[in-house]
Amino acid sequence: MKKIFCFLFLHTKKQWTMYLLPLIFVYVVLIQYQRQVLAVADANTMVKVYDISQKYGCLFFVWYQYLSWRYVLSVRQREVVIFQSFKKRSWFILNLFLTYLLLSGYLIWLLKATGSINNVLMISVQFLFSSVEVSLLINLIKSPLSGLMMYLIYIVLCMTECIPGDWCIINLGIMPDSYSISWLLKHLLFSIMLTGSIKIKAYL
Amino acid sequence: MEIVDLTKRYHKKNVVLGINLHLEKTNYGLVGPNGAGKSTFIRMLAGVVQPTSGEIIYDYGKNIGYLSQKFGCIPELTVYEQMEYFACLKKSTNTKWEGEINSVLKMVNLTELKNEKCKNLSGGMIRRVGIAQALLGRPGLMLLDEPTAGLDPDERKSFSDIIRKLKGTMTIVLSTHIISDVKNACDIMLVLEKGVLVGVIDLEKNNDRDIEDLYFSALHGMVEK
Repeated sequence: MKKIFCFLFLHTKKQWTMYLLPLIFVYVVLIQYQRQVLAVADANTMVKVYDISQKYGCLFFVWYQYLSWRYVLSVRQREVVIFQSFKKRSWFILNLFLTYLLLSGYLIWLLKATGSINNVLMISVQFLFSSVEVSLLINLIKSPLSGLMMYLIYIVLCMTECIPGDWCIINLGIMPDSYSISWLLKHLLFSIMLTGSIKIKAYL
Repeated sequence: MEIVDLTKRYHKKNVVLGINLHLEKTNYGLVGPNGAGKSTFIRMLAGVVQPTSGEIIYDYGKNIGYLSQKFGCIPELTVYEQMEYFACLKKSTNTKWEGEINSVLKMVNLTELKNEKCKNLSGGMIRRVGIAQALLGRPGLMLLDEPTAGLDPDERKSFSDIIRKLKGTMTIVLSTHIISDVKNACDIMLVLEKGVLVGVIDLEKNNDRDIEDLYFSALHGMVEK
C-alpha cells in the first residue's frame, strides 16, 4: 500500500496543474454561477442547479480518473508497471477517494445551498458510477485517452437524449433523487459487464 | 538460477518447450528467428507470464530488473522524474532514492541528461533509461527484451558497451535477433528455435569461429550443447 501512496504523491505532483485547474473552475466559477441560478427562484431553479452539478461533476470525476490512468496504462509504461505487481484496484479506490476529497467542498456547498440530502447523495452515486465506468472502459480498451473520449461521447449522447434514460449516466431535466431503481440496476449491470470483459493479462 | 523443464502452451501450441538451464552471473544472449519464443521465455523469467509447466528457481529471491520490448518514457517527464516513478514502484520508501537514481544514471551515461525532458531523447537514450530503471534496486537478474531493436549502429554499440560493463555483477539475459549484439555484449549464446533451446554456446571457447556460423550450426543441430 505504501507503494501506491508514494505513486499517488508523485502522480499528483507531476500533474498538479491538471488537478488544480478543474478545482479553480468548480470553486471559483461554478459555485458563483449556481448561486446566481439559485437567486432566481422559480419552479425550475432546483432542476437547473442539479443539471449543472450532474454535468460538471461527472465531467470532473471522469477527468480525474483519466489523469490517474494516464501514465500507468500508457503503452510505453504499462508492462513495466504490471511487472512491479501494481495493484490496479487499490489505485482506483485511492484515486476515487482523492476525487471525492477534492470535490467534497463543492458537495457540501451544494447540500447547504439546496438543503436536499437525497439529491446530493444521488449525484454522489452518479459520480461513483461514472468513475467506475470510465476506469473500466480505459482498462478494457487499454488506452486512457481513447477511453476518456469514448466516455465523453457517451455523456454527450446522454445529454442530447440519444440513449434511453435508464442507460444514461446523466438525465437532464429531472432531479437526481427521481432516478429509478432500474437506473441503478442497469448501471450496476453495466459496471459488472465491463469488469467481466477485462482480462488484465490479455496484453502481456 | 535454475530453469527446470519450462513450458508455455498457448491454444494447444507449444511456444516454449521443456527448457532446462542453469544460469550463472554472466551475460547471456538469447537469439532465434521471429516467433521462436524469445519474448515468452523472457516474460516467464520476469514472472509476467505464468508457465504452463516447469519451474524457475531464483537464487536471489525475485529481485529482477526488466526492460520490456515496448518500453518508452512519458514525454513530458524529465529523465530524473521518470526514474523517480520507477524507484517509487520498486521501493516502498523514498529514502536514498536520489543517490541510487544518480548512481544508475551514471552507469548508463545519462547523468548530464537527467534534467532533459524524455520527449527530447533519442531511441538509444530511452533504452538507456530503460536499463537504468531495470538496475534500480540492484537486481540479481536483469532481463532485456529486444532492447536494441530500431537503434542505429552507434546507439547499439553504446548499448552493448553498457551491458558488457555490467558483466559479472548479475545474471543478464539479453533477447535479440541481431547476432552482432550478442557478440559485443555476451559470453554465452542461447539459441531458441520453435520454443526449443537448440544451442548453449560459450562464445569464449568458440572465439575462433564466426558467431553467425555458430548460430546457424545450432539451428541445424551441429553445435554441441
